[in-house]
Amino acid sequence: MRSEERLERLLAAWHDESRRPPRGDPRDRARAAMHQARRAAGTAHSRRPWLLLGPRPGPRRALLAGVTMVATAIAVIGVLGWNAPAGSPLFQVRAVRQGIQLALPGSNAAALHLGFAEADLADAGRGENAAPSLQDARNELAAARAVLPSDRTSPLWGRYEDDISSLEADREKIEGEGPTTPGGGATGEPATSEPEQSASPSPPTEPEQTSSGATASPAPEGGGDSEGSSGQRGSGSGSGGDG
Amino acid sequence: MQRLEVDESDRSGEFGEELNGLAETVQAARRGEAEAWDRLFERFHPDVHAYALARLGDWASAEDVTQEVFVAAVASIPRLRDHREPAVQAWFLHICRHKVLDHLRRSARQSRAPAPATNATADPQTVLETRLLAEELRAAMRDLTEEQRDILVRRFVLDQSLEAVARGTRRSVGAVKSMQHRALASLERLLSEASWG
Repeated sequence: MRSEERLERLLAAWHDESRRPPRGDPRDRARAAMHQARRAAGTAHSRRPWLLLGPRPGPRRALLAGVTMVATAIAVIGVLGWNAPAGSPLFQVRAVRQGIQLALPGSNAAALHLGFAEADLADAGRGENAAPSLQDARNELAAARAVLPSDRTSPLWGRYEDDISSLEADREKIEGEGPTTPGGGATGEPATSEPEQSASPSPPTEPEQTSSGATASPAPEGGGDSEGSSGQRGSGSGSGGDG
Repeated sequence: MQRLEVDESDRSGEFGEELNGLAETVQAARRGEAEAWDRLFERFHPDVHAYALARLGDWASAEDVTQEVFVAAVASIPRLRDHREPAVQAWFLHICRHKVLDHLRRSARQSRAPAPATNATADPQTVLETRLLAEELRAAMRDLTEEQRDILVRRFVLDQSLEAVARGTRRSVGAVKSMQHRALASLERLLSEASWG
């Protein structure tokens, strides 16, 4: 027999033998094993942590879960610290937010500083960290004073003087109640550059770093007029871009 | 030589639209639906079993490997991207080929006597003769490369077209044709040497 014919015969036999129908019992066992694996896979899938979405956890999914958790944590801290009062652990978030507001192009620095000061005064009025809030209000007013327009008829001047009066009133009120801050000096009595108590509100005279990062410069001459000492927070707290 | 001069025309439409719902079946299988797995099992079990038996020549081993293939498929089906029939068949055969190689490595360490084929409807004499011839071919195929053996199973046991083999093995049609030609030439030479020796 020629080798080619023999090879043909062998290939045909190979085909026929391999193509014979599988035996029933092993076939049933294979099917049962497949379904057992399918059920096990389904159970494993349902036990997977909800963050590891999809059929197969892997490095990319773990990275996605990590990034999601970090982003969520940042968002939560941002929301909680958005209006955190001075002296609170998350006040730095608010300070950063205020610094960004000041840095934005076209922002009115005087109005913003006044707004920040009014928000501090509102916090102190609600009794939220009164002493640090008053201190921050003082710093913001000093910063505002440095950038107020030279035109004394500007409405910002009115706001400023109202805020100075409110600051003094709150300070006196807190002093009257006695020290509330444990271990520290008298509440409402900032350690530095305390505004003068007079009918003519004068701004802080020493440059200080405000929460919003601006440095308050000494008050220019002519800032000590006696106008507008209403003793109220007439301009409304929280205005000027705060909040 | 009629069988070796393979007529491609009778294979050209074998992967047509035979199973229109295969993509849906694969999707359902990915969701873990039992009926979908049953359909995949019914469709591809014969091919997987034939591949394993052609390579191993031992029914018990082929049945073990076939079972391992379907268990492994459950775990790896999320990675199956192409849901058309040729791709799904190629995926099952790819798993099967690896399971066969695993089995051969294991059996090289622990030899097991081949289980005799049982077929109540066939003539025992014919079964035995076929088995001996097939075993002779498998013995000659040991001198071929793994890739050549893989291609011969697909071409002469599973009756796949050159195009289907090319898709399943990720080679060009020309490369498959060339490998098949070399494999058959080697087998002819080996059988000739055996008959003279």
